[in-house]
Amino acid sequence: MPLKPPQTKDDTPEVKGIATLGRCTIKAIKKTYICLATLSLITGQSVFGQELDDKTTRHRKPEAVVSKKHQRQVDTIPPIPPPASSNWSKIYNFTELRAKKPFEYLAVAHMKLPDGGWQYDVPYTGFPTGYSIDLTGKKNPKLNLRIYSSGTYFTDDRYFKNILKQEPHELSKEERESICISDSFTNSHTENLNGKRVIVMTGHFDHDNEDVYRMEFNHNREASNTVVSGGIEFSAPPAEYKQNLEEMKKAFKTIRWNNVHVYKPD
Amino acid sequence: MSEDFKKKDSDQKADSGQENRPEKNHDGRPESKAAREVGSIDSTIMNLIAKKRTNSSSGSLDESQDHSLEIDFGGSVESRKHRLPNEVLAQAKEPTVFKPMPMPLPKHDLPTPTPTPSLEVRRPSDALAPLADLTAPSDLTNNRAELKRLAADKIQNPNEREQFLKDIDQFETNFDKRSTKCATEKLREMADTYTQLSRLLSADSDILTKYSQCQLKEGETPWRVRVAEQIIHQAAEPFTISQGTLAVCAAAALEVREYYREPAAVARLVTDALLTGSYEATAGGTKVDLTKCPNNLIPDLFAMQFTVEKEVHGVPAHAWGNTYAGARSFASQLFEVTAINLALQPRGFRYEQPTPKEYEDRKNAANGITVDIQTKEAKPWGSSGSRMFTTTDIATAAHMISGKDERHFALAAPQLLPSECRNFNLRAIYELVNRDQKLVNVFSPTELPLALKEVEKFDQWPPIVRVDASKPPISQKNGGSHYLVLSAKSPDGNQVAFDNTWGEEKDHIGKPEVLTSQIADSMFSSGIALPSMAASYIADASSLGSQPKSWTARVNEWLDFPNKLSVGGQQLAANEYLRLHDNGMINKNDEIHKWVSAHPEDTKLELWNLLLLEWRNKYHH
Repeated sequence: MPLKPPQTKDDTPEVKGIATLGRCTIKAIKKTYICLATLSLITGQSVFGQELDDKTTRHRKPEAVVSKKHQRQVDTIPPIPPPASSNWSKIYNFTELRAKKPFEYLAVAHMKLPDGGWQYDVPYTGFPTGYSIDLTGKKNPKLNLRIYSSGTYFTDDRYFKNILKQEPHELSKEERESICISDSFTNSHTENLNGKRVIVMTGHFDHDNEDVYRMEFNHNREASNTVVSGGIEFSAPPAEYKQNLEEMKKAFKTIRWNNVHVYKPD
Repeated sequence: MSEDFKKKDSDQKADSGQENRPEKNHDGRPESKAAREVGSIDSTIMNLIAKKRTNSSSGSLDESQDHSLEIDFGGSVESRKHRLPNEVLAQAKEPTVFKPMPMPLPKHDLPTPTPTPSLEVRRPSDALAPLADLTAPSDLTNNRAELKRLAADKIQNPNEREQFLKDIDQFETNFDKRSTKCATEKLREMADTYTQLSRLLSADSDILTKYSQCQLKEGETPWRVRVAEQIIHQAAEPFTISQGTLAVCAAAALEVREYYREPAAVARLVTDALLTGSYEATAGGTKVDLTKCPNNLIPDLFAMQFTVEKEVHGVPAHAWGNTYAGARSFASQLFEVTAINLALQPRGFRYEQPTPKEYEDRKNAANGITVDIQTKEAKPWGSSGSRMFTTTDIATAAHMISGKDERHFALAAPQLLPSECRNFNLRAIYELVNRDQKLVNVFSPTELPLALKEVEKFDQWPPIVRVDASKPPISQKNGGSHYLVLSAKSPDGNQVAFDNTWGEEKDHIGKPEVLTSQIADSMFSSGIALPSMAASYIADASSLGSQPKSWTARVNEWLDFPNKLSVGGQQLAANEYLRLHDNGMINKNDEIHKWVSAHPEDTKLELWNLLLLEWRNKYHH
């Protein structure tokens, strides 16, 4: 659609200034205006000399004339509201975890969360691979509980399977390296948790100055041959971590696993 | 150039034996400089006519591609073939006439920072080329020759070199097909892309030499060469671009679109970032200093692994014992961190990628942080507030990078409830208030086909849409907000094809077969809906309904505002207005004051006027 010229005929100050005159007078003045404008174009000189001078004078004294005009505008039309905020905030509140919409894909069918309430501030954009649901304590936002999955296959899942099929034990250096356990975790062992073999790791993240308690497991049911790593992780600054770890461990003990083939890479 | 042409090229050289002699005209006499210039103008005009004919004749476009990309030829398609020896001669003298152009694109070569009025943007694909750029054909020929010479010299690995040359050919073929620019602009775009690639290949060092992590072993391909290979590959095949494991889909979608449309601007961004560690936006002058966060500059573990060869053969990346398809290239890393920070930096934030240690600890869940530049307070990337890269930011960053009007490609569901969207006055006020958001507001799912036509009409294809990935057509379990680039649409707009930066296997490119209604429903999913802002607008919407004339007067007053502040016919600069306002010399006008504060670059209030005019035209007030 072509754009219209910036000013319509009725917007011209000359026409506005004589709005009370009769229609015929307006037409006559408009005609004169057009003729003079044409003449101006031909001669290259302004034929609105006086008027231009007036404008110039007006702008030499902006406080006098411009103020008046805009005062009128402000009086008649209130300012419009601010633009829509692009802030994105979608928060879920939890007291327990359940594998149901919109989180039906979780490895945890149910888990009673520690008291105080937990919230999930949904990130603006989703994860391309797997998922990571980061909950923070409602009462104490320094407490973090993360439920996640890699969402992808192991390059070679024999190592992970081999560790999980053994009786609970401390992981050797070779075992740690075989499944790429970060040096940030100083302890790692396997244990049974309500029917699922999990790898428990504890350590400290320097970059966040947080102590961490993490459990990793096969996101699918225990007997599944398709291994997709999943995990639950509690982290907090050292003081809060120490204070809340036992509560969190109690919460972990309430986990009922989603004992089906719940998650697989696309 | 095809093998046939190369053969003809060598045959011609052998026959004529004139490689280093002055070019001769058809009489065999050496052409004077003036004669060559006249000939060049003549050739360009003829080419424009030929291009017009070619576009209007069915089936001839493919036949003419190689020719038209090389140089402007006159006459019909048949006569172009007869002109081939001229092209061959031009090729033959490349080494002697080429002058390397290692400098970045001069600013005056690009459009002015202020958005182009819509009338200028709406240029049909077969429009006659502007006659001003007469050197585009020869620049392309020379720049391509120089790039190929540098490739032969600098790319040691024969497989990489072969792929690079293949990508050059592919780029020219594909860009000619997909771009809606006019013929000369296409040549200029390709020539300028090559200039940037030559900068990379001819440079002796880059910013990565500062960092010990980036030191290469003997025989490894230098980072500059790798990035040049990645740029030309991605310019040839923009839909191969992947975002990797990070939640940067908005920036990745923008990257796909800019490679699709403006490869030279992207190439400059990536080249500047790698060679100097900083990038100055084409429009607005925002300068992003990537050295403030070396982690953004240093290739992450996926960029370390990425090669074009692996991408072509679909070889996945490996990290933390897991296999990841669709790894992100280093060129993409540089583009994305820069584009995100172009938008965040003016708001006082900096996006930082995960550090290697964070990657090691959190694996694919590592997602980076946004840091408050003043207070250093860090929050996870994607947190609420101004710390994220939104749909508006996509359009803003596109404008900053390309320097062009980019207000008609980012499609968004408005911050209104479906029932509120049915209120015409509310829509009008919503669009008036948010007129500078650079978005195409789609007020209901059924309006998406129309919006797609608008994108096309404004010559802004391909559009980007924000969808709920848990809904069809993506249907990923963990879902969430995600951005898609719509690569094609059916003539009626009811079916589309799209690129998904999650990896090529997630793409639906090619023939448009995905229902537009699916995309529309996904756009309007409650899972990603932004909170309604109707409460702020309802009073004005009501007033617009009851007093339309006063609103017309109001908008006209605003439109007249720059004229009121003109002195002797010269408009007062916007910053001058602010000075007058701050000194109490004129009364406060909230609207203009807010505008000037938010848009300091709009010194002549041109954008102010343009957007108001567009709004007035759309709503007939």
